[in-house]
Amino acid sequence: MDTMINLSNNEMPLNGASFQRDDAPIDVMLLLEGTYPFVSGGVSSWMHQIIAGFPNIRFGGVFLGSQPSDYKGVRYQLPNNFVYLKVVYLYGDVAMPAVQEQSVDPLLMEHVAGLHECFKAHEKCPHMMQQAAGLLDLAFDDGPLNHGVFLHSKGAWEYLAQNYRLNCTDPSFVDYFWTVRSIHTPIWKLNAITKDIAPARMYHSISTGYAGFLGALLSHRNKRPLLISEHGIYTKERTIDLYQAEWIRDNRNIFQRDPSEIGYYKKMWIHFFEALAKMAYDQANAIISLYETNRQRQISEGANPLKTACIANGIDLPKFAAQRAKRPNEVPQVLCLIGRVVPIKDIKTFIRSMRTLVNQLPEAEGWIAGPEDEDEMYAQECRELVKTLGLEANVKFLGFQKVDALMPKIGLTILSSISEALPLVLLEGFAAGVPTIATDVGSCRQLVYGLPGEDQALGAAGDIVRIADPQALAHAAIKLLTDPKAWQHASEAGMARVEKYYTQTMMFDRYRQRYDEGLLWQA
Amino acid sequence: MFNATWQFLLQENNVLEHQGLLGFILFHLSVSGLLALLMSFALPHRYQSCHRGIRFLFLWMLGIFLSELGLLLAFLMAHLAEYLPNKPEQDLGFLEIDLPEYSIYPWVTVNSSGLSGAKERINKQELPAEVRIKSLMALQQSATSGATNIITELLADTNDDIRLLAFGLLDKREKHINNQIAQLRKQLDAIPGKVLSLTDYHQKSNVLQRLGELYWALVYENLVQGDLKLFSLARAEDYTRQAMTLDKENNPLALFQLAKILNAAERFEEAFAAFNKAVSFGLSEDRALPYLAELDYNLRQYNKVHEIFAQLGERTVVLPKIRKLASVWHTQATQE
Repeated sequence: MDTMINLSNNEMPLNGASFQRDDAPIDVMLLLEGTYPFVSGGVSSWMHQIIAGFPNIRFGGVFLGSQPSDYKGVRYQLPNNFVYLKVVYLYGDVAMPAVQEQSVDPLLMEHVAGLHECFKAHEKCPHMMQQAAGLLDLAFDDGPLNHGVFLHSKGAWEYLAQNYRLNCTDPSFVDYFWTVRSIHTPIWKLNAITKDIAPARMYHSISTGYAGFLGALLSHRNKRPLLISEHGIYTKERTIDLYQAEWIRDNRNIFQRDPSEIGYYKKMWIHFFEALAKMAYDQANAIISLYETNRQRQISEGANPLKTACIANGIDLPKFAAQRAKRPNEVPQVLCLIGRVVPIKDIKTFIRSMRTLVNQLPEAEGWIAGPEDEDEMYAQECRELVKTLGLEANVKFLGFQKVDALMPKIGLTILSSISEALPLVLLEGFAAGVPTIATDVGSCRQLVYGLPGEDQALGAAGDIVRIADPQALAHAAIKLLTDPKAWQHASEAGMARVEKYYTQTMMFDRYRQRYDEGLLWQA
Repeated sequence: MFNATWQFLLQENNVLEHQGLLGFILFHLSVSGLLALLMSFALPHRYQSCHRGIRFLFLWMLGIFLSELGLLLAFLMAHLAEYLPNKPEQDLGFLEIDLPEYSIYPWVTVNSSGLSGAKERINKQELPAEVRIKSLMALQQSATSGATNIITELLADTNDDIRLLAFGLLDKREKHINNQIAQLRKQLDAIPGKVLSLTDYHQKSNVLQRLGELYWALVYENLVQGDLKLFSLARAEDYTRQAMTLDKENNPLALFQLAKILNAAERFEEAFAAFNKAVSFGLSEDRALPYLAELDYNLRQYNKVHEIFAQLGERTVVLPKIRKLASVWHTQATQE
């Protein structure tokens, strides 16, 4: 029997705990990796917006997290139509099978080898997900490929040793052995929980990775459709993380090491996430991205172009448009970065830009409106930087704020992120009449300057600068803040763009169509 | 050997008189037996397939005769060597070998053609992203301002992966330096304001000088630009001067550091004086000359630049890129 989740306190639920409002069937089961409802941010806000936007659909969710200590309780008021939640941690105190000798059928190991060959040449294996799911059917606790077999059978050991000899360029077998074990352990965990998750009429994963793979497995086993919506591209983000990861060792000595080659274990992790994505794309009935560049990226990662489509984010226009009337006549000399204080938002570049800005506009203020508890060390570094640059009087950390109430008080929204998809905060600013200075990431250029044609003719809703360039960011901001006419043009262009292309109604219409198709789908 | 012993015993015909030798042989036989017994149980499984008795016998015989046979073999080899052809002895004597080239530059030199090669590959948008990423990965090994410039340019790349990777590399470098600064500042705060002991005094001076070096590193590696560069230079100068007022007033390395900071801050006259003072207090002239040439160039004293490069061209211990510069200036002087 599952432990029930108490959503009223700020404690994280135990591993495997679940919550269910009633016994009525679930329409859409959301697969949520490291996001809603325990993490705040753009993707979570979007998820909340979707759930609240379809009150007639009964949503459930499976939250996949790393370990309880990484989260701090529910961050959202869960809508009434969010009727089910199951929490699963993939790392931390994971119970492992008892150590005892196991045996494995050599024929099964040949099938495992065949699947690994498929990962290397995806185009030759059109039914890769079926192959994987077939093997995973045998991987439950009582199956011939259970976790204990992987850990303690001679056949698995010999297969691992053989692959090390054939493929591994790192001299440490011990590291190879443990890397293979670490990479594969969540697979058995995900496989096992498919039995415990409440049934649903369709599955909707908000990323590939573990969530996408779980969605593919559930979809395959229960013969229900799978929809994948990606904001960022999961494999791309993991790859960049892994390129820079310092926890993965490279044991090659100075004579073996080619500085232009990343270590073998990093490659293993990257290929693992690529394989998960391919299987999820294989199984998905529809694959959604926020804009064209990301759609192309999905195709290059193995998605069937015919299944792909773009659905842009949209915002609650009346809510933000109502703020326009509250704006003062003068442009407030306030720049506001709305977002979590985490490295990917590159808050430090904004703070550095404030040094240049304050040198020229001493009255200007920089506000950072967002929670600081996700990466407390980074938040501390940011506060230190403010002191180091002598900006205590000009830069303020506001913590979490109601965005709509903030809008009339600010002159520019700032987005200094190093990676984004289609940031809602820019659209919300546009709707409230606030132009932006944003970095050239994701679809920011498209949002600020418009797509070629009618959209572009609306004008620029601010300016775009290179990432990690505080000078350029400051100069672009000074240009708009000191030129009321240019500011007014940018404000009008932003309002016109968001009204024409990025409303919540447009987004809901397109998702309604996807949900209708999924819910009516017959195997 | 065993046979010889046996013959000896027979000849003497008085075995009992040689009880010591007999005792030794019995001891050897029993120890070999015991060893064989232990080994037969300790053998890996795959060697335990034959009959237990045969296994024991084999190991026992091995224990008894190995020492005897080994000696016999050594004896035979020594005799055999008599009949093998001799290699004539060579009198090698003592040879004079060249001294290894010693570089006074403590940092790793970077091949400039390698840098430009990497830059060319990285900037070719038509190349596959993997090739460009490989070049970028190779570039991160080089901690020079040239490499930083190339990586900084990639922050505007159209490829997301390259842009993010470039950011990560720069961020890592900057974070590494900033973390050291934060730690040293904590150390500095922990040292009493009124310096009491000699140890504290020297520690404070060393921490201050290191802080100056770290702020200078941010500038030298081109990790800061614009107002932040000016800010870092001001900090670097301030810490270096504080260190000098404690116990490094005439320290050539501290003076050299100050001179470089002043040069970067475009306070050329002061930098010139600091470089000369550093040399007068023992800094190798080889290290100061390229900077002096740069100063003279900035002060538009081109004749002096020629003179310095002529001097550098004659020296053996010069960085390859400086040698190239010297060659260019020398060629120009000859043409004029």
